[in-house]
Amino acid sequence: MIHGFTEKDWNDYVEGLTDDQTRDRIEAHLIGCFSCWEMYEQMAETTTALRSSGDILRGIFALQDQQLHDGLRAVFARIKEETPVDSAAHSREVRARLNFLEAVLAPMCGSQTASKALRAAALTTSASTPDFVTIENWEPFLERLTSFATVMCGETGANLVRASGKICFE
Amino acid sequence: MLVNRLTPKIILYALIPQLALVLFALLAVNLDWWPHFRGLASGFRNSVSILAFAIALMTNLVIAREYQKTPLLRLAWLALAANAGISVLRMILEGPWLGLIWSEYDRSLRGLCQHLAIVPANLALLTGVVAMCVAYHRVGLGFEIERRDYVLMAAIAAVLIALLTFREGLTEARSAYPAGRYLQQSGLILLAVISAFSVLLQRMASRMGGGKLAKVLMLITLYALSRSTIVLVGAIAPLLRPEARLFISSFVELGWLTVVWLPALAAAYRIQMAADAVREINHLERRRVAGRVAPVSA
Repeated sequence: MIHGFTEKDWNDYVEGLTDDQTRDRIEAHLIGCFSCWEMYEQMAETTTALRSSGDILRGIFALQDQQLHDGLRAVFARIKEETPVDSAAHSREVRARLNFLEAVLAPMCGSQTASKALRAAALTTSASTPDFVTIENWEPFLERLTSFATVMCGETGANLVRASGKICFE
Repeated sequence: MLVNRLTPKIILYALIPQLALVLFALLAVNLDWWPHFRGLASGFRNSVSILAFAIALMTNLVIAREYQKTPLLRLAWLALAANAGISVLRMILEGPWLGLIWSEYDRSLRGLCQHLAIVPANLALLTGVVAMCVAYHRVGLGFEIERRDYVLMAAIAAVLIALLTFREGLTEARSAYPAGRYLQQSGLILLAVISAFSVLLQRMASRMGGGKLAKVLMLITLYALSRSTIVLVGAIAPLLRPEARLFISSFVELGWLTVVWLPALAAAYRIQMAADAVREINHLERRRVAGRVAPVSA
């Protein structure tokens, strides 16, 4: 509150949005209050500067109707490609494959080792955790998991892990 | 190959009647039903031990082939094979057979020869156990060494000290060959070190959450620890009253007969793990050929 006027009153006044009664009161006050006059001048200058800058920027980045139309079409097409149903099915499939690999490893080297091996294999790929393993980063993930299996379960066990990881994709 | 068909069940089926037979032999000897049974039981026990270690030798050599790309584990299984192979030799030297064809092969000479085999056998076992510990630790799946592991290892070192304190009770304490005495003590020190390291294997196995590999590691641990226990009990036995000695000698006899089968049992579990994997691969291949392999979510 500045001299009986709220911040909103001042802003509305500068913007020319205030009602007649408030405008008369502010103008009556400005005649006699030098500090408020100075504040008003600064606010008015700033608002003018912002308006002119906005106009310039709008001129530079102005979108034609056709451009706007094309942009929106591209956005909607991408959304359509990755509908939530497809994404959920995809992640369910990868999760099922991970569970399958865990089930293959567990009888050989134990359930805890299997789970740790999946996490460690994901960590060394771009996935970072099994939750982020996708079909795109599946190959390096499987390769890493196979190398863990080579140590823990021997070459036959590693071959089983590799075969199980590949056969799921066919 | 015949070794690939070896299963833990076969080993257990072989072990149980032997235990029953030796138990009967011990009763026959101790109750004076048939005193000649002692020699027969000793020969039987010796032959069975040779068979058990021979099976472990062949199986471990097959397992070592599983680790062409993992030199440390290949070394570990080859070392376990060497342990089994030298143990076969030890059993031949220790048994009654050489005494039958060579009259100068007395108790002291037999003890010396026996420990000449035990020391390299223990060295091979130590190599195997340490190589396994290092290999599984290096894989980085959380097989870390904790403070309590060091405590357990220290406890086993204490057992070694106790054993050396009772060294007068050791079989070679009064051997005519000084080398026999030193070899026996060296063998015991090695056995204690093996037992200490096998604690790490047991810790790793307990963190695996089941699985055949955990059983393999547990059995190797049990082999090392029960050997130490039998030697310790055997060393204490002469200091006890005759009735207790009788019980202890029976325990050692039966215990040893069980212990010699543990490397073969561990190897059988490991072989079965590979055999199961081969079966699974073939199963997947058959499903693929039949076109029945679909994404697992389908």
